[in-house]
Amino acid sequence: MNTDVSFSTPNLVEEADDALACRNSDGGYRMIDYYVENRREEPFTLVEPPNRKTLTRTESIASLKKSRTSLEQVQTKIGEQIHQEPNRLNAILASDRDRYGFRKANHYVKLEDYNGWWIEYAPYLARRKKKWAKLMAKNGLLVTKNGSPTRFPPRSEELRRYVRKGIPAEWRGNAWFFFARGHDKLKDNKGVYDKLVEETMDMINENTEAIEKDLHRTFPENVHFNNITQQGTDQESALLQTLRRVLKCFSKYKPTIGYCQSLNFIAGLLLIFLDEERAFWMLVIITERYLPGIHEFNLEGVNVHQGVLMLCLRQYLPNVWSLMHETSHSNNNSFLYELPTLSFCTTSWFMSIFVGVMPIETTLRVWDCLFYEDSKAIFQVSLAIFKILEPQMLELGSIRSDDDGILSAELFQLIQNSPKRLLNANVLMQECFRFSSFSKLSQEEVQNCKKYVVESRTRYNELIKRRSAVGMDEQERRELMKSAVLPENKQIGLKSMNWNGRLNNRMRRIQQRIR
Amino acid sequence: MSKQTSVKLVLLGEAAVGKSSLVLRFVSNDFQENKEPTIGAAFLTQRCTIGTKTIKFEIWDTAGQERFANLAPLYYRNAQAALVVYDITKPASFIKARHWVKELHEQASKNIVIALVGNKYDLLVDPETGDEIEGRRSVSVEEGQALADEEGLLFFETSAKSALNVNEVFTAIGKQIPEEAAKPADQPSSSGRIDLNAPTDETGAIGNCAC
Repeated sequence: MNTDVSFSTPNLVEEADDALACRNSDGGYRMIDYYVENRREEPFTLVEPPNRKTLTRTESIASLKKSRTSLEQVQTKIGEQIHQEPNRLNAILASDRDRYGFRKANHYVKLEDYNGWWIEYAPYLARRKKKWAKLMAKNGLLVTKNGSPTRFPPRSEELRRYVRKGIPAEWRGNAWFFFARGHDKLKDNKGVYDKLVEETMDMINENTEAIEKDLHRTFPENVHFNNITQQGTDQESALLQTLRRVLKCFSKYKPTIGYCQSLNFIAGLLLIFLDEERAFWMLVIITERYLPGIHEFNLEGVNVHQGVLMLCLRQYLPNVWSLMHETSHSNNNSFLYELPTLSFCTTSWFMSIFVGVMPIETTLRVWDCLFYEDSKAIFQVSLAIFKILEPQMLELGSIRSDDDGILSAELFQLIQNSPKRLLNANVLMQECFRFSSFSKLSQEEVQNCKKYVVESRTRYNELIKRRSAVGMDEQERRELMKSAVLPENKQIGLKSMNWNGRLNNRMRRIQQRIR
Repeated sequence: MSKQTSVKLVLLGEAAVGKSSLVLRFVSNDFQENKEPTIGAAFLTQRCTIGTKTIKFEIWDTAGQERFANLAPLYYRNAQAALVVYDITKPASFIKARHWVKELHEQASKNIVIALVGNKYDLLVDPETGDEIEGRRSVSVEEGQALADEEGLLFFETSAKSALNVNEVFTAIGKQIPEEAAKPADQPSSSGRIDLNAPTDETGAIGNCAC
């Protein structure tokens, strides 16, 4: 063993060993607590990334100015591309790129499939654009030929329908910002972003190290994110430099989140549609209001949202649910603590808000709805995906890889890969909001479910802590889970929703069938 | 007739060490510069024939960032094999690998076959001569091998980019999987807790790395 190697963080081994010890005696939740409690305050030394010159402060500021100017140029260019007149949308057919600079074809979507779909989708976009223009005019909002409106009509049934059918791409950034009440956020925080940029300019810590690891892995196939090769050397694109700033500022502004993988994708997509400062505030709004807890250190928010999705599946797609839940979970709600294996596939649906999960045009349609309708849209989209896959799932459902009730490999692949081929966003949206039992799912129901899941999980974790999971066998653990289950008819629970009366009856029937 | 068994395999290791790239190389014989980070986990399968055995690898490729670590037990709970990956140019990733090995030995199934994999060998090599350039690596072969010997792991240095040793890792795992541990399609899994103090007799790595 070569003992000469010096590690940059010599205490890491001991530290993490302690953390492991915590975890072992405590059922798996303490390690993260340990890191949160002990790591944040400590200075974090790290290996200087290779080939990166350390800039002086003046150089940094100069390069910042330069990169902001070039960002404006890039965004004008993107704007122009997105903004192509509907009758010129055919230009996309000839290109290997879409309007946003992404490659049209990939492992899942063939070029001819994309073009076949685009031939129908482009005229649809043109039609929708005209309708939007009329709606704006009706509301006395002027739209200049090449400009994008910054104000949109007040909320209404009609507007919601329009949003569900897709916001014109060239208006998207402004519309998202408007619907998410970004202006208020910006007004309350004048100058904050610029100050953050200043403060984080020379910041190096574990977050910035993690950001550097992911920066060049964000949309590497997109022309705007690609490194520019000039005279044989790679130069970082303006958008990548901006993305670094936004993520660094965010990690400083939200220390309970810092940098979490998947934020790079969210921020990256925002930057295609919004300028730097507004993209930053949208990222803040998303993590505060739309997806609270999802990106926090212990990722507990992911588990909570997954729990809500499971409750929704059980309610609205009982056939799918009967494939999903492991047999041992059939009698109570213990799937809320020990999530079904299905949740392996759906983690990224919440964390990246479908970026990389579905084709980009489809993802953008989901984002339109998210910012107008709140997080319930994510659950409706998830349910719609499962509903679309239901026939294939049921076909595969009879094949179980083994009898401990774990889903077969084929099912996992279906759930993971099929959404990547979902080019036709209209089909998905219609499943979400028109044809399905869950089309009327309200934000209030989702909030109630969330509350129920949070309380149940907290209760379970407390019980586990008190009893100490050491030496507990499988049987005991199951008993503990059962005793942690909150009755659903508690006021905050699901019973308060009228659909849950139906849910309970239906569940009882399903359970009887299983038994 | 050859027997087909399925092997559940999980990849663990620090962010950006090349876990997804190793899988992409093994499953599609492909390589992608700047591969996107994996969020949560990705699932892939690949069949391979070793002697008379056909093995279907069911691979869970996990996210590397520290905060995803508390999701990891979900993936390795039922795994029969694990690849613990580090980047031979990043010492911190080797420390992390050590932790993963420890955690697997404590928490995963007793029969789990673990391969320690030092990836990104291509970064050490002079593209002209093919020789290793001195001073480029941060984790020596000896260190990797010592950890593997200590913990009874298979050990390889690989390059997902140049395909060096990638198939070899999986083949070695396939050979090492005890017949009864690999699950024929319709046989129940063995459950029950494990005796952590039981001696392991599978020490020593089969795969000598070709570097």
